[in-house]
Amino acid sequence: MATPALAVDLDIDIKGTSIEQLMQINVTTVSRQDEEWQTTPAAAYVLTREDLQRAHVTNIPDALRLVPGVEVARIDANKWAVSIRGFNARTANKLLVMIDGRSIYDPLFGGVFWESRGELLDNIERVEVVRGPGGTLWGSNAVNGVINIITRNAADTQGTLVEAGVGSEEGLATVRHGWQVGPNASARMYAQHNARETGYSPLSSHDDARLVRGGFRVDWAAGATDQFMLKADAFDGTFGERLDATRYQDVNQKGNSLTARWTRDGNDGSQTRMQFWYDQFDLDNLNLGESRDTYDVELQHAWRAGDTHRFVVGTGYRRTRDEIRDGPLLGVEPDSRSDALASAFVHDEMTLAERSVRVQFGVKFEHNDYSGAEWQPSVRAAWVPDADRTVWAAASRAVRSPSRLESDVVSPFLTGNQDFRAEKLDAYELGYRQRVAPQVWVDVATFYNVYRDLLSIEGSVVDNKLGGTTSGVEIATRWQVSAAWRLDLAYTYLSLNLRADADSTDTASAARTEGNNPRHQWSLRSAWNPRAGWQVDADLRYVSGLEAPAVPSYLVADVGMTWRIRKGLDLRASARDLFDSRHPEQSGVTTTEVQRSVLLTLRWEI
Amino acid sequence: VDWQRLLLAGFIALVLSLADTARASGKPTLEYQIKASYLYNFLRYVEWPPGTLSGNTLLVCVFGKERFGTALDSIVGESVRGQVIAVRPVSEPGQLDGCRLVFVGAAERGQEDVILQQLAGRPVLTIGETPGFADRGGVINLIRVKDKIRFEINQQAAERGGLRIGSQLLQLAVRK
Repeated sequence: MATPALAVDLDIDIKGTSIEQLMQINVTTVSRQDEEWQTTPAAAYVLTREDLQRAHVTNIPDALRLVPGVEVARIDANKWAVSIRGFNARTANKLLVMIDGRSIYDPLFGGVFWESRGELLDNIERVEVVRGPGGTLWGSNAVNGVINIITRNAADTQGTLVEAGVGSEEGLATVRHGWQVGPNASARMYAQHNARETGYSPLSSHDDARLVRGGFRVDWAAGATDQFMLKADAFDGTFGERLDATRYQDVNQKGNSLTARWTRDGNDGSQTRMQFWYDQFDLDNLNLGESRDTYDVELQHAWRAGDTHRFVVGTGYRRTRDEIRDGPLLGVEPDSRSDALASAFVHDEMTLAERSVRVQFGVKFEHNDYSGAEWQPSVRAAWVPDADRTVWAAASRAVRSPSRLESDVVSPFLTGNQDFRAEKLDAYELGYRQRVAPQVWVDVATFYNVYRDLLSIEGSVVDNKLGGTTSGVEIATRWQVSAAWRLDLAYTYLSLNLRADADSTDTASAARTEGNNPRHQWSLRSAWNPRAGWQVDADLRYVSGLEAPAVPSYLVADVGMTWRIRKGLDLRASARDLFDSRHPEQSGVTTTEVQRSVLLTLRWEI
Repeated sequence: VDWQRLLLAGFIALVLSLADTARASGKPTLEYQIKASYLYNFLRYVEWPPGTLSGNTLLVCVFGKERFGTALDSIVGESVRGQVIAVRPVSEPGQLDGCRLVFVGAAERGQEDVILQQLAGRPVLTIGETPGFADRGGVINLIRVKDKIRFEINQQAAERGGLRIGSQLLQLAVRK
């Protein structure tokens, strides 16, 4: 066949990349990671840079809609409820969310302010999502899952990027510049402005938002073994919201963070990592104001012992100090508090029976100033009979340590409890992955979770008198139809069965917590490269209705197209939430509905 | 609203028109893009014994070429040391006449020994990607260290074939 090969854009310049540069490029996202994750004894999923780019999303919650088993519901135009395996709410507190190892959940309530926390999507290398307990390696709050956002090495973001997008519901402008600061050191800096329009509500919505974020990252490879990373980010945003039928407010959130990391890769396969991070956050809300500083230092060492064992040990210390400004109806006592979190873990990964069996055993000890010492053990095992099949099972215990509000809140309807204990989970998981045909992969994960000491409200006092079980099935399939076309089909089933303890007077929490999660979620995603320079993407999503507060089911489609006008210059067009002109995803006094939207983006990389 | 229907119709029309010209575009994985770039770099840092680069073609023979997809296309026709690079996909040891660089893909486990024996002591830069390739007599082995692609060099194997490996390359190797 004499047809010249189509000019497909490669990720690197084959002739123009030096050996030193080649030695620094991470291939995890593509290959070893696929192998590694194919045999991992956990329900894991990775969103790659390509997935993010092809999803035509502008924020992390919308990107997480692509991950099987993740629940994402938009509350208003700038707020989201994100969870895994149930317990979804704006205050969902059983997830650990990190950016480059820096935890971004707020210790005030244990949840994530998704409207302001995040990262420039163009800076993200991959998003690793582990459903199920990750407490043994990651620590508290990793009860129902871990979301780890990993940003790109500065060496991979050289040159200048300018991006501008206009749409019916939002507009954004981005600049990023990367350069070499030395023979083995690279840097980048970036800034982004994002403005979001209001969602639909029969009342006035007032949920428009503006967010500016910016920062820099420096990576330095000192010799063949040592790597240093320094990253700083800042954001400042104003997020409108409705307080009740007639009153509104603009909430300001701003923050700064700094992450410094040193990694040494030994020639013997060992790795030592030391990381320090600082995070400062300010929330100016009429209901409650928060100002918080958090320092965290972690040390971790991994090494191989013979062919069988790979050990990881680590220790960490975190101190968080807050000042809370009481609102008219909500306050905390004391107004300021400084808390420490100390932790240590050991993890052994064994490879047995000619690599066909992987066993992971780990335990993490943690001490927090609210509930004291907590142990989180886990055992995971995978059987890999051949290259195409993996069967895995796991049993783990995870805890969610008390939040500042649960301990110290003071309000007419809610009183904190300093004896509030950590919420506990015993989780049992079973999973199966198979490459059922050369181009077809199936990944099935099931779980049965037993919770104890969940939050209940006794009268108006916070307590631990709720428990129960949840179970579910998560299926992800991928069909690489041809080199140019990929289909992903996912289904998630979730059932929650919570009940108050016999001595509890809380009759509302169980039903409310259960009712805010969809029982069924379906998605079908298509990624297609019809010809060189063109990408066509479509995503069909069904989410079943919520019972309490009631929200009808919805079926929406997102479509997007990228046209590479010439090297480095892309025109992107997308339309989201097609089929209905609008639909609600949550219901409440402050919620607004998601409207059909279009976005046109011009992206220029020099 | 009407414009939304219009937009959808436009989208469908565009998709259909693109479908007409649809064709497979095989983008290689990042791993093989990196390996392709390594091959090109190695060609520039390795010296063949005088006289072995006769003619004006520097022939690169690749077992498992399909894994590279289009990644090697851009180096074809480039000149290195006054020689023009040509790439030949091969599948059997009998096809290696005239090759100056032989890449032995991971799928060739079965015939790797035969290939290495056949090329031992000859001025051919053998490059592999399986653990132990350099120990078994290959000159350079591309290996995975953590998330990165690094390389080992078997200097004795290189010397037996009369190849001179640049000192810069030796310094960067994981194991010499």
